[in-house]
Amino acid sequence: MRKILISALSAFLIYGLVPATVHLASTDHAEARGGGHRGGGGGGGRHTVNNRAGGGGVHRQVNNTVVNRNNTVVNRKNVDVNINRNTNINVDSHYYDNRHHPVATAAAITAAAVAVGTIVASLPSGCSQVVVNGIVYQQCGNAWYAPQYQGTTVNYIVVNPPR
Amino acid sequence: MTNTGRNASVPVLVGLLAALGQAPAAMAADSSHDEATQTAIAAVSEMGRQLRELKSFGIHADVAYDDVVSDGILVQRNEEVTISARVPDGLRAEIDGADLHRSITYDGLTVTVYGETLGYYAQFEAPATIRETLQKAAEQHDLQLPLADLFFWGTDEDNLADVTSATMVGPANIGGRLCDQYVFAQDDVSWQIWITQGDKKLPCKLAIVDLSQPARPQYSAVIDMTPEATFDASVFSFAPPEGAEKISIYTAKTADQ
Repeated sequence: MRKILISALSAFLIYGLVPATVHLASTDHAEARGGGHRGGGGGGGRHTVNNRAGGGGVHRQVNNTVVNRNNTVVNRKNVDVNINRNTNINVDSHYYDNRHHPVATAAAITAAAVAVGTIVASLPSGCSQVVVNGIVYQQCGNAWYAPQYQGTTVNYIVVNPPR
Repeated sequence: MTNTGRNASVPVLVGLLAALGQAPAAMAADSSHDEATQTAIAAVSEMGRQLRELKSFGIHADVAYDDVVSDGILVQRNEEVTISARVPDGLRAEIDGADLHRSITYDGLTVTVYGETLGYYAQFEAPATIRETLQKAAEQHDLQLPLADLFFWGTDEDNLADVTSATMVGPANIGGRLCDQYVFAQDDVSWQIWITQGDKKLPCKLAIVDLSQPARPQYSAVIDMTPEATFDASVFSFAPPEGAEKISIYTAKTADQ
């Protein structure tokens, strides 16, 4: 069974396929993020011997961010890949610099319901960059996102329409 | 099969610890001050002391690290890291994956993170030294400079007191260089460092295993360091390329500290 999972996983990694449903992740899922210099770039391990972010460090900070933002995060990493009913393979995609992703369709549908303050790892398709009062936004239909760096990872915060 | 994608040094480390006849926990319990531990810590301290005497240095590193993608399945990522350091107040790090390109620039006043593919950059005000800046970047902005440990060894912030047990393993051939290998145990992490033989002590390789996660993801960097490298001042300053857009950077709230 592991073999099958691994080969399925490789298909996702190679072709960037994420045939799945997006759901709002719990903070438990969010906890699995963080660590490493990507600062939230997937469930990586430590990249330095000494965790200079302090006790709990990066994990705690990432999680707190999410808590401060209405306990919701939409993250491609938390996509369920239902190869078998007991296994979810959550492919972290912070590693790649793609603004858009096949998951977009699902995310776009979700977007209308996503609360302001929600952080997403990637944008749905059909977004266009708009600068309002010197601030960069991505407008995706009715949804507006503000990109931000978290460590070296870029993620997107759902914001109220600036105009 | 669960080891698929995992760095091959896991079994090596496990085998090593087994060969020592001691589990890491047992090592921690009764031998924190033994001779082997002291010798290994002294080796890192000496390397650190020599690094701190450098006015500048360059690093090129081939990095491999694990992402825990699901349920203990590890995906190994690779990237190339290039660091230029001018003590005390100039630093540039470039991280290059296949698709992802980042630069971190510190000019003594400001840190800039820039992603070439996305064309976004973000900045924050920085303290006066590289070390303070690394500390602030990690604490407040979730930004971890690759190989940051190399800037702290040889100072009183080296955290070597956290080592519960350590020993020298022996010589190893790292890309044609003979380097002495040491292994260290700490509560939540185990790590190894390879240091050049001879009088000049430079890091050859660093490997870290995160014990706090069940999947035990690893980080490994083969390091090529050039002491006293000379850099043009422009290396440490950031000028936004045409079309680059400035965005914000995550900042921890005071309550998070």
